[in-house]
Amino acid sequence: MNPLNWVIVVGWIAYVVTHGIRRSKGTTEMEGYFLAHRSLPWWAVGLSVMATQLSAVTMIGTTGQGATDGMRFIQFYFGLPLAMVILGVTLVPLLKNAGVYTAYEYLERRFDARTRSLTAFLFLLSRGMSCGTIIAAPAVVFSAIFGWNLWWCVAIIGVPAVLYAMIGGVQAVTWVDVKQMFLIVGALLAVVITLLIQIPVSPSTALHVAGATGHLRVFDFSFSLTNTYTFWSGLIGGTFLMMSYFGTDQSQVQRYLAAKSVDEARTSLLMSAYWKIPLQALVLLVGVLVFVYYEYHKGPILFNPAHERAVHNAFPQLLADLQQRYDTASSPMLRDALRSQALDYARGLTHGPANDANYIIPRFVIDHLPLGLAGIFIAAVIAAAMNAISGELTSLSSATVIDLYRRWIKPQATDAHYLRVSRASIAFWGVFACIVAHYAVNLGSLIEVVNRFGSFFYGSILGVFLLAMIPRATSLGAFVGMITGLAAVSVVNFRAPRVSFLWHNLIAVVVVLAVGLALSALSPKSSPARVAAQP
Amino acid sequence: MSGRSAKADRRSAQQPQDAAARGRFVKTLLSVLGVQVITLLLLWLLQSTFSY
Repeated sequence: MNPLNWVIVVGWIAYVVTHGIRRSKGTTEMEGYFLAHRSLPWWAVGLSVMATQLSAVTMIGTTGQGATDGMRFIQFYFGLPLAMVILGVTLVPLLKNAGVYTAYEYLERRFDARTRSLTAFLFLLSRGMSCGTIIAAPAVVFSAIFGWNLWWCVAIIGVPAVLYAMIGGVQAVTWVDVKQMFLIVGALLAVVITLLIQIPVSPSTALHVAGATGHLRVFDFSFSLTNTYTFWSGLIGGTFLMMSYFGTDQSQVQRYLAAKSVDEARTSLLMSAYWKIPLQALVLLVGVLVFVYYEYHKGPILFNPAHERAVHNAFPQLLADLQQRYDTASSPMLRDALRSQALDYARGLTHGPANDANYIIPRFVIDHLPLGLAGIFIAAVIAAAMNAISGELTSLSSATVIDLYRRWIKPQATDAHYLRVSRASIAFWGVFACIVAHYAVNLGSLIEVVNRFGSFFYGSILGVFLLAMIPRATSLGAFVGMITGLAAVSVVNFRAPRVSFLWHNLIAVVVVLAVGLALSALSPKSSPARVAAQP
Repeated sequence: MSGRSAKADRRSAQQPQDAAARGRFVKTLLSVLGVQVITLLLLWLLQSTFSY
């Protein structure tokens, strides 16, 4: 890549780290560090919420999915606006008015310490692992594309995020997120415009080409428990997934707890509801247009350079023949068949996953984007990764310190002490995420395992929060309901593995509510501990 | 007595604020739903115009 592109990448990373550290004023107390003194405007919180969930996986994985599979992935998000509306009138006012640091802290106030500790522990387990996979996804792509050592790639992505999150807490993370969101959206728009200029036909013809190959098929109204990308899976399963994620996951809850008021907190969530589907459509459109671009220009048969090297070293003539046939193939179907053949050889030689969708956009960016724009796009991918990591690290730290350390280990200490522990905790989770990232890459399928692993917990945790809103629910009902919900999802996952994980959340919510309410009806009403009176 | 009247003053000042916040939320909510309907219609138009 041209040195100017690297200057842009390094310059941007230096700028955001400096900006984050400068924004760390007033973070000398816990409330400032974890909640920005509950003073952030709704639009900054809204952009930060969107930034935390728009990771590098979106920038390279979702765009790649657009290139191979078209727009149908967008159905996954159809439940999001509905979830935001429901949360705006239910959990957001509940948690915001409770004056808590973490969502799980509220559960002790409503139920008991064991429910709080279990939910906090499940959050730490799943988020800690997922933070590693968020670093792993772009690191492995950068390592293959640029030929760098994997540890360096992990460090380039992870260290700056750990640095500004550790020094500036939620305030620094939020304001850096705001800046980075402008870069990310700007980079995506610039790539779309460049593609429209470089594709040698009119935009209308380009869309007809995409449509003819099924890339613009957005809606699938079939009802299937096994297909994740249908209208009904997205609307029903997606609503519960998004409610779980935005309503009970500390990485999201921490954002709106930092808003000035309940009204600003829910307006910030509605901002995500406004923009998520159009933004995802833009991300997928980049991939669709890259697909059209390669219909008119020669492209590599294998997008992953590591695959290309492996097949070239083992069977140079075979790869050359396949590439030549691929370049002259008359139909997209024939090209797909040739690519599958080449990917099979790559899988046999590398013993890793053969899917190279994650490499399509990075290869296009490096090979075909004009000078400067490639640097901006790479900076945007790193920015997206940093946004997600820093947001998750601060939430992991708040759950570690507030729900475990202050609750169980050292209840009486000064604010300065907790602040030092919080910073150390961010550093710990940062190192943990980098180690997970390294092994996630080597084990290949661990990323998928971790995603499914996360879907085990979400629905059950949401079920407990919904129980908390029902006055007659007791602590015994909540705790046993949650354990039963987790068990139900495990049974579905292992006995019916084809059922899409989107439905796991709905199943868990139903089980937790049913068991929780039944047990509550049978057990005497408990008097919950009051965490307000204790740390 | 003066404490009680101060509380009543605060409550009466809070009421219009709450009403304004609720009004703002409902307005935002309706516009969110409007944007979603328009987005879905545009996606449907994209599919029906170009997919065959």
